[in-house]
Amino acid sequence: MTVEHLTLLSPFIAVGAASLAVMLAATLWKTRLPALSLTVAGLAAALAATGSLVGHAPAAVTPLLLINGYSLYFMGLVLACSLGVALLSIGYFARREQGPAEFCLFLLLSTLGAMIIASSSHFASLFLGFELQGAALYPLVAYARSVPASIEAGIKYLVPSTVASAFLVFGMALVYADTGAMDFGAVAALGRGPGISLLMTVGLLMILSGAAFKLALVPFHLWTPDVYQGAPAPATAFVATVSKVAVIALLMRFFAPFSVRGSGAVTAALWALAIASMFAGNLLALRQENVKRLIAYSSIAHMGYVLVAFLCGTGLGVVAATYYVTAYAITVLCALAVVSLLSHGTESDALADYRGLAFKRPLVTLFFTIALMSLAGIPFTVGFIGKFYVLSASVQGRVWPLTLSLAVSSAIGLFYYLRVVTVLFRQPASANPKDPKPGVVTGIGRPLSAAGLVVLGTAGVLLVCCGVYPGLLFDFIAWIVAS
Amino acid sequence: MMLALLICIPLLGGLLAWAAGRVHARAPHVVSLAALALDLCLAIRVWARGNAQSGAWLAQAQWPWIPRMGISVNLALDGLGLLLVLLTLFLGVMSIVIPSSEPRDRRGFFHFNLMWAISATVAVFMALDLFLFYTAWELMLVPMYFLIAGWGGENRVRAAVKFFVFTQASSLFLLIAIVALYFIHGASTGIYTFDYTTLLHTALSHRAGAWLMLGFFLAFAVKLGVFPLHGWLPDAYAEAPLAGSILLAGVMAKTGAYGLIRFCLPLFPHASSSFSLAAMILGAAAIVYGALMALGQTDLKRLIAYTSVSHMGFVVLGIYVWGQLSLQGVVLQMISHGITVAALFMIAAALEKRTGSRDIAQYGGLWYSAPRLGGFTVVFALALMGLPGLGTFVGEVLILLDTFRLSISLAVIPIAGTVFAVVYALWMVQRIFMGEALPRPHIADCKGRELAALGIMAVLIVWLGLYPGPFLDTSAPSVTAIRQSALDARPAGKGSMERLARLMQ
Repeated sequence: MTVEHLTLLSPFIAVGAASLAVMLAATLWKTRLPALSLTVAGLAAALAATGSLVGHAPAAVTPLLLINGYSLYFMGLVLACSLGVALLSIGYFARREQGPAEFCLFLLLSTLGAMIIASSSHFASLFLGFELQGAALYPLVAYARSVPASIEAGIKYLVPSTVASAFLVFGMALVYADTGAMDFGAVAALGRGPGISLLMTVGLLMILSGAAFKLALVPFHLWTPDVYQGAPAPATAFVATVSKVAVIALLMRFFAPFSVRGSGAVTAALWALAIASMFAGNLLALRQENVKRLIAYSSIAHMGYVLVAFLCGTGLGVVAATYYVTAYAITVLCALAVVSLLSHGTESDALADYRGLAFKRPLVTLFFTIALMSLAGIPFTVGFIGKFYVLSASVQGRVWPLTLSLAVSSAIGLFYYLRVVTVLFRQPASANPKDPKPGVVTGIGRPLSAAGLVVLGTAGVLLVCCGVYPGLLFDFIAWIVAS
Repeated sequence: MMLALLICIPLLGGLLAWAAGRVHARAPHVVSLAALALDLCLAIRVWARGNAQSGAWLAQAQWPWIPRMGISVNLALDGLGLLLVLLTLFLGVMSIVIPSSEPRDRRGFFHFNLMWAISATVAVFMALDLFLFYTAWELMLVPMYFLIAGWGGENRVRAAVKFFVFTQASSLFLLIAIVALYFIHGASTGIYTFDYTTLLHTALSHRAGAWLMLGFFLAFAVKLGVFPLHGWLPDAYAEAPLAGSILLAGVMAKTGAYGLIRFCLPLFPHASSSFSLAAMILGAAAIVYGALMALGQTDLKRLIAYTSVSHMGFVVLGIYVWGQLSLQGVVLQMISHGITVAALFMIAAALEKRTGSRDIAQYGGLWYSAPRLGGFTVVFALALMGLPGLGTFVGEVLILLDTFRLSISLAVIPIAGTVFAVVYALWMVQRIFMGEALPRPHIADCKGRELAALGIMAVLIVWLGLYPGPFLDTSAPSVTAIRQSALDARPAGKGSMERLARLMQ
């Protein structure tokens, strides 16, 4: 362990130190502010450290972690998303009895786990990251102790997640039994032979199903809607962004050698997952009456789009997948920031609550509309550019069934995004007190949290800027992938 | 620079109008009218200056956008595009100048959407980069969706969603086709670009060409409302607010025809040539189908919508005949149909405002109280059926002349369609204005701005009918250039059109 290694580990150290500090602060002070500000500071420091490492030569820190441009990019994305979630939670907990200290702690730990997943190069570190990320996420999801739905969501996440971890470990064991290697590089090298054994195939498929659970790919998606709906809004944002970004990073790093060539079974499984996710996600979202559930199903479909880019097996495919994940993270963070901002006291996530929002809160509605347009893939949003790159990659890779599935399923997807937009711009329901659904506007007239607005504004502006002038981000990603 | 201004003025005007809505309820109207009038003046100046700079292009401008993917902001205007831009801006002005188009609420946002829809449409007619074209093509939809869903009739949300999903789904295939063309061109030449002029001579295998052509055709045909793909059209036209109906029927349908002329046929000359017979039959079928459906309508706006399907059938027929005369006819048909349909929607809106109904059965005998409105209706109904002396006649005759040269039997069907047109047009006038007056209070006749707008449009449609020269002269160089470039690439006597022509001899 040299100084250089410590420098490379500085983002991890910052997050770890912040979690310890939050623990101490929670025992020393009973107010909300210290825990929240320490969390934000820790995440910001880690983000800055990650930024300063960009351009550093790729280096393996112990056999467990590989720090290169690629893992730094995903770590940066994870940290940025989690910083956004932390800022959202400031406003969210200001209006609730329950303090945010434990929330912050688990947020930091889960982020640390996600960073480890994104940079792992060994089964041991992968499993460590996977478990840390997952175990810290259960309490986040079930954090609203007084709300039965939140507890239910926690249980629904806990049980399948544990099963998924078991699959992952079993898969690793099978691969190890076959190859005798636990290092990603060695596994890929041994798996590259002309035909891979049945043991290896089964092992890889089990690892894949563990990852598919985290990404909520169909048919591993059953937990998603309830967890999204039941969890507190910032926790939903965390599940939707951080945990998916990290697993996509892993997927692209670990499975790239297998999907491009060889192992028909793994490739076939990925194809099936992608097509099923795109269609099922978009079809099931059609009839949702709850914004968080709708975003849950929509995120299933979006992970399918990412897989399409990944499955092209071209250089552009990797860049497109990375770009799409980034676009997705920005957009979903923006959309869930709206839900979080508007959740005064109770969660306001029923679609009916949003009726006529345009006339009550025009600015928030503007950002929400832009986010929905981005999810739907309308030009001048980052979502469109992402979809354009994914389509380009799939056309270049000539994976026509995937291309067509993407086009048809995203056309289906338009229906429900439009439904939400239509509700936003409908005339508000009458102010009749007997009206069972008075339309939101829970907490109208109360100021919105400034920190939450910062997240919303930053995400919204990024979303439009990357949509209008996408070249910079694309060049950056291409440079990182190449290095 | 001029071209960028043409796009940016309505964009900025829209933003300003939205902001102005907070100052005064009438302010958005004034702001957007001023912006559109300014834009129209600019476009007329381009028209008056006239002389082509290079080839058929009147003006051209290019800025880099996403250089890594070979995407640039490449704008150019030729005679064809210029006429359609003029039409867009003219109808834009007309659609907001009359009082019945002004919504009751959320005026700032209404004008914002209207202006952005106009701006995107103008951009569509100028974009020479396929990515930019697609972007503008998509951007037309969003404000139009809001216009229909926000200020439309009773079933507005359903109509708006149907409109959006039909057009968006079809344009995803356009996007796939564009990207595929990009990669095929890049793989064979090493130049990866979305530039139209570079892609124009891409060597394509028969299969690839056919698939890509279908992708383009699908998107354009849906916008145009070509016969089996018109499902969204009557709903959207009928439910949209007046300004939305005028834009949709008068201008946005023409973006489909423009796309076919500018992109689909020149980019895929071989595939289009084999496809032309099918497309011509679709066009001819649409003429008859639209006319027959129009006969059966009780809702005035739906009736107008179906006559539009019928007239767009002429446009498709004329495009796929691909003769010099027929293409010139298509241009003239697009302009005169745009004006006619806009005027008819205005009349429908005026009637709806006065009687509170779009149902034709609720009208009758209105001539006594509103003779001027009746007079205009007669003029534009005559334009619908293509009376000599009015713009639509010239367009239809030019299209039919070339069709006749190609195949007599194919030309017979549209002529049958025009017979139905006479029936629905005259019957429409008869049911609304003639006959027993229903017991109802007098309705106001048109006057003031309404009278002026309808008057200007009537003058234009007569001008187009009696002296179409200036319009044809403007479009001739570009139509010749586009047509020739596709014909040069096409092997003689191999297309189904030529086979058909030989068969007929």
